[in-house]
Amino acid sequence: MDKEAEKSISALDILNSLERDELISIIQRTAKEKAIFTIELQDGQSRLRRAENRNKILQQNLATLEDDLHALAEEKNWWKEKVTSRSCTCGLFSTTINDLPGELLLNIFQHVDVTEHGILRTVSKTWNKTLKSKIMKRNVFLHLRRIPIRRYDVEYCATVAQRARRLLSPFMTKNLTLEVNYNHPDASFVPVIIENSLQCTSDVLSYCENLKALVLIGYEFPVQFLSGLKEWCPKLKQMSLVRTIVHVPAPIDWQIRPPDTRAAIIDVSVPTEKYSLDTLLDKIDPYITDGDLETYANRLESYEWAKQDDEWLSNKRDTILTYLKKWEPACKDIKDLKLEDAQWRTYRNLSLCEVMSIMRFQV
Amino acid sequence: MSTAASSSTSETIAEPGLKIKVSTKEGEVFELDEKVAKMSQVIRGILEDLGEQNGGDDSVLPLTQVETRIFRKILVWLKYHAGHDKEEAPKAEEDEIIARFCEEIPEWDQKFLNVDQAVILEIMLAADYLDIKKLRGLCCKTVANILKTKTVEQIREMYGIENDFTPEEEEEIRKQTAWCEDEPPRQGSNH
Repeated sequence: MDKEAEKSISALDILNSLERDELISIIQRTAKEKAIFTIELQDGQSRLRRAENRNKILQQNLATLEDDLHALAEEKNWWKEKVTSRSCTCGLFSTTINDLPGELLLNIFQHVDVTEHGILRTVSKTWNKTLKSKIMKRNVFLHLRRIPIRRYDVEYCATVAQRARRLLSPFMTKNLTLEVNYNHPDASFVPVIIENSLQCTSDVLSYCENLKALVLIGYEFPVQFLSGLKEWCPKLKQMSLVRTIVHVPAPIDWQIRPPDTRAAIIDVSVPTEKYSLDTLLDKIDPYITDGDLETYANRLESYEWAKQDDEWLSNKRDTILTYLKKWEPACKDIKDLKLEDAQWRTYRNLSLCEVMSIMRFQV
Repeated sequence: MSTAASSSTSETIAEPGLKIKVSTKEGEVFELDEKVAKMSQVIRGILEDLGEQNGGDDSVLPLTQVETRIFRKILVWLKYHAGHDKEEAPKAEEDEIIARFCEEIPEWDQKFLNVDQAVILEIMLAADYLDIKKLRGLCCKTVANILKTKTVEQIREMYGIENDFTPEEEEEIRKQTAWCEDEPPRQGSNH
């Protein structure tokens, strides 16, 4: 007999030796354990599902809390801004800007860029009155921000150019009487305008009641400043720009600009944001036809300054004429273009580009 | 604020020299160095009127419009600048105005004035009362810097200012100040 057979006989012997009741008991016990295991399994599965649900809820709660936290942080910043700008955190002080005497309010306003005065004037009647007062216009500091390079649409560009031309037209007359020169070595903006030194030497004023002529040298500022001058220099009739760039909002792509816009911008004798005068002239070349050049060359003969017998002028004449030919189509509204002899001599060491920028336009 | 504030009668200043006593609105007495005290043109004027006899006796200059808390802060500023500012030759009015408007607020002063706006205004009022031009100018400049970059609505909300313009008046002002406008209307397609 082999071993397997011996094992089977041995198991049979055990079964045979058990009583029937014992067998039933074993079967029942096994069934009960199975039932318990089944219940525990179901319970476990149920708990797992609950845990998963809870996990989902917790995740949702977490997301909600994160949103709340974000909102609270924003609210905190809002309040912080409110508190630091309006009232004091300790609650001991309650002074607001409305409690300040007019003199201090004036002093505050004088530190604000004049280009922002428009905003301040719109705040309330009191502020408007304060900012319009004559004392405010005295000593107002012209601190002009540099306008960042932007892309302007054609329509806006044309509007600005037309406005600039309209606002500048009062300055362009034949009444040249007095002149102020101010040169700032680090000027990337206009820090100050000195009142006509011939009439009042004691004050640095931006409200220049009697200023009739102004020369700005080596500056860079937005065209709004030129139009704003009308506010501060009511009698200003003439101004010259030397080595000065006036930022006129303009599209980056000059090719798409209509001729009238180009004309208006060059009317104020300024290159724009990104271009030097030379570059600008190159840019407008495509607009000039041969026929134009011939016409304008004939008209140029009538310009008085071009006939002056000046050695330097003679040497440069051809080059200048070439430049003027390029300019002429753009300056179609200019009836006379005159560079005075004295000015000519004063600025003879400047580059041609700079000379172009000190030409007097008379519309 | 990085520096401890004040010197009172119980915190006598250690430096030798003439001492000036002043009292605040609440009656608290401070003892100041002559140099520090004279940075206030008001105190300087009073001392000159008195023939500078004040330091030797117990007389106290009353600063009736200045609260103690604000005076303590101002004292911090005065003491710092008395110790750090160089003696400057008197400037021509032109130079003074240019300097006043062109120069940035120094770092120390920026930190000093990094407080609630109400406190800045209190300091400004006190500096005005005491005639400390430099401090008053710094306060004005700080407030001006807060005003910059704010819209009309933000300024009104910030200070609780009611818009008392009619729409027509507002429009008129906008027209008058159109030259200040920075932002172009965005309606073209060449952007």
